[in-house]
Amino acid sequence: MIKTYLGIDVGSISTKGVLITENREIIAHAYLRTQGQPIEAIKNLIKELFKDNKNIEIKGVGTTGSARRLAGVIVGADVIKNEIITHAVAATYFYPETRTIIEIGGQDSKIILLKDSVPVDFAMNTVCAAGTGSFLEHQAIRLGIPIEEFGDYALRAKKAATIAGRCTVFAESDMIHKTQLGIPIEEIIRGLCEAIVRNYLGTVAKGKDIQPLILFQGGVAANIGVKTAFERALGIEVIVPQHFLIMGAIGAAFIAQDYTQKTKSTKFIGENLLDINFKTKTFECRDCTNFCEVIETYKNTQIIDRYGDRCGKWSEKLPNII
Amino acid sequence: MKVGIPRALLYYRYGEFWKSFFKCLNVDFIISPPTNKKILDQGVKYVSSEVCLPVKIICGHLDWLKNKATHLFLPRFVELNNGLYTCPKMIGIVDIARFHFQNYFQIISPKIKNNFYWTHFKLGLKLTKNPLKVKNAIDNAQKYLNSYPKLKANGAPKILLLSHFYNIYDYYISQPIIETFKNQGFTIITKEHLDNKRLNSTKGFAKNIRWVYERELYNAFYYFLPQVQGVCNIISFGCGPDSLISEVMLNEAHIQNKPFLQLIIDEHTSATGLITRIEAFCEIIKKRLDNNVSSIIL
Ligand code: SF4
Ligand code: SF4
Repeated sequence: MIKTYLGIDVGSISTKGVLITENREIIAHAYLRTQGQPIEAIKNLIKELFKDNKNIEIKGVGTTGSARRLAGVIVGADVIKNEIITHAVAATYFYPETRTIIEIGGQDSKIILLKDSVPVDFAMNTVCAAGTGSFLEHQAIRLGIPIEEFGDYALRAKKAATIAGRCTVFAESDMIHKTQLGIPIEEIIRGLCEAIVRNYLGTVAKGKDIQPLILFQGGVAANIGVKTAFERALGIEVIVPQHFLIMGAIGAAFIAQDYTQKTKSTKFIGENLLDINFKTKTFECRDCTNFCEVIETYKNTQIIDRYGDRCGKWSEKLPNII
Repeated sequence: MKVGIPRALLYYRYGEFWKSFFKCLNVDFIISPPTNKKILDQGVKYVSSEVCLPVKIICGHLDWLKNKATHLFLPRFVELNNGLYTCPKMIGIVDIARFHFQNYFQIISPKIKNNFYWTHFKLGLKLTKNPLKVKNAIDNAQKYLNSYPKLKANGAPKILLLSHFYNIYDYYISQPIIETFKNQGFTIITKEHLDNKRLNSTKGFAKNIRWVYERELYNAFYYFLPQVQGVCNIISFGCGPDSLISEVMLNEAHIQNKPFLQLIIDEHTSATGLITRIEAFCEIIKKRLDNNVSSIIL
C-alpha cells in the first residue's frame, strides 16, 4: 500500500484533484469541468484519480476552492483551506524563491505576494469577469479558433491591435470592430492577450509591488500569448510551473499531509463515497425578515452540513458538525 | 402627527439625539427596524444600480416607513464644523425622498449648515410654541450626541475595521465581516474608539480632507495604525469619497508594512467571497505574528 494524500480544488468552472505520496511525488491528477454540479464533479474526480491506483491508502485529505466547504464535508476532509493559502504553499514548494503569484482561473483572478515563502499580501478581482478564462474561451468560440491555439496565434502577430481591457462588453465590441476593419486575426488575439494583462495589472494587481520570481498559474497560464504579454509588460521573466492547473489542489494535499502527520488519522470517508447519495438543498428561512437562504448538504437522508443563516440557529442545530 | 425616522445613514450618529429630542417635545415618532433583506430588496428598486449601498438601504427604510407615519424626518446635512462637508449623495437623499415619497408623508428636511443646534431649535419651535421646552429638549438630548455602541475590544491581536458608521453599525452589512474576524481570533476596533479631539484633528494630511467622515476615518487610521495588526477597510461600491481616501490609506499602510484589506461591498456581495478574503487575510497576519516564518505549515 502506498501512503498518499488527496487534494481537491473545486471552483465554479473546474474541479481539480491530485494524489501525492509521502515524498510529495504526484502519482495522479485530474481536471474536470464543474458544470454547475460540484457533487457530481467531485465524485467523477475521485473515480478518475483512483482508476489506476488501486494499491493506495489515503492518509489525509485537503479541500480548497470556492466550494471547499461542500467538498470538505462530502469527502471527509481533514483540512479545508482557502485558495490563497493553498496556492502559496504549492508555489513555494516548487519555487522557494517565489515573490509573486499571478493566478488567473476560469472566473476569478488573484495576486499573491510572498516574502520568505510566506504570503504577505493578496488581492482578488471583485465583480468583473473581464480577463478571466471564461471570457477568453468565449472569444475563442466566437472566433472559431480552438482555445489551445490562441497563444500561438498571438505569438505570430508582429503587433497588437488595441483592444479595451476594462470590460468584456467593450473588449468584444472592439474585437468585432477590428475584424471588420480587416485587421488580421493574429493581431486581434495578441491585442486581446495584452488587454487581459493590462486589465489584470490595472485592477487586481493595482498598487502591488511585483517582484521576481513570478509564477503564473491557473487555467489562463496555458496561454502562451498571455504569458508573453505579461513578460512584455513587466519586463521580467514569468514562470509557468509544470502543474499550473492544479496548484491549488497540490497545496491542499500538502497542507493535509502536514496536518495529518500530527493528528495521525484522517476523516476521509473512503472510496465508497461514490455509492452515497449526496444532495444539497436550499430553503428560505422565514422566521425573521432576513429571509436567509440556508444551504443544506445531505448524505443519503442525513444532514451533514448546514449554513447560510445569519443568526446561527440552523447551523448550530447540526448534530455532528465537521 | 407621527414622525418617521429611517434607521439608516446618519441615524447611526444622531439617532439617540433625535429620540431624546422628540420624546422631550412629546412628539410621537416611529423608527424603522434594523436593516433586513426585505428592506434592502425594496431599497434597490428606488435608485440606479450605480448608487452606493447605504443610499439603497435608506431608500428601503423610507419605503418601510410609508403608510406608517404622517411625517418623514430627514434633515439635509450639508456642512459641519465650518468647511467640512458630508457627501453629495447624503445631501441629495432628501431629493430622492421627495421624488418617490412625497405623496406618502410630509417631509421635514431642515438644512444643516454649521448650525446643528439652531436648526433643531427652530424645528422644535415649530412643533411646540414653547422656547424653554425646546431648549430643554436639546440640552437633554445633547448627552447622546457621541453615544453610539462601541464594539467591545478585549485582548490582542487587533484589527482596525475602518468604514462609515452606517456600514459598521448596520449589522446587516457588517455582521458576516465582524463574525469572521472573531472566529479567526481577532478583536476589532473602529474609529469610534478614538476620542473626538483626535478624530477631528487637522494635523498632516487630514487638513486637506474636506469630507467630515472621511477625515475621521483617516485620523483613526493614522492614530491606530501602529497599534493594530492589520486594517480592514470596507468601502461601498460607487462611493466617491471612500475611493479616494482608501487609496491614500492603502499607500500609507504599504509604506509602514501593515496588512491592509479592502472590501468593496454592494448588494450583490456574497458572504462567501468576503469570508474567503478575510480568512486569507487573517492567516497572513497570524503568519506574521509567528516568528517562525520559514515553516510552510499554515
Ligand atoms: S436563519 Fe435566522 S436570521 Fe435568517 S431568516 Fe431565519 S431566523 Fe432570520
Ligand atoms: S460617503 Fe460614500 S457611502 Fe456614504 S453616502 Fe456618500 S457615497 Fe454613499
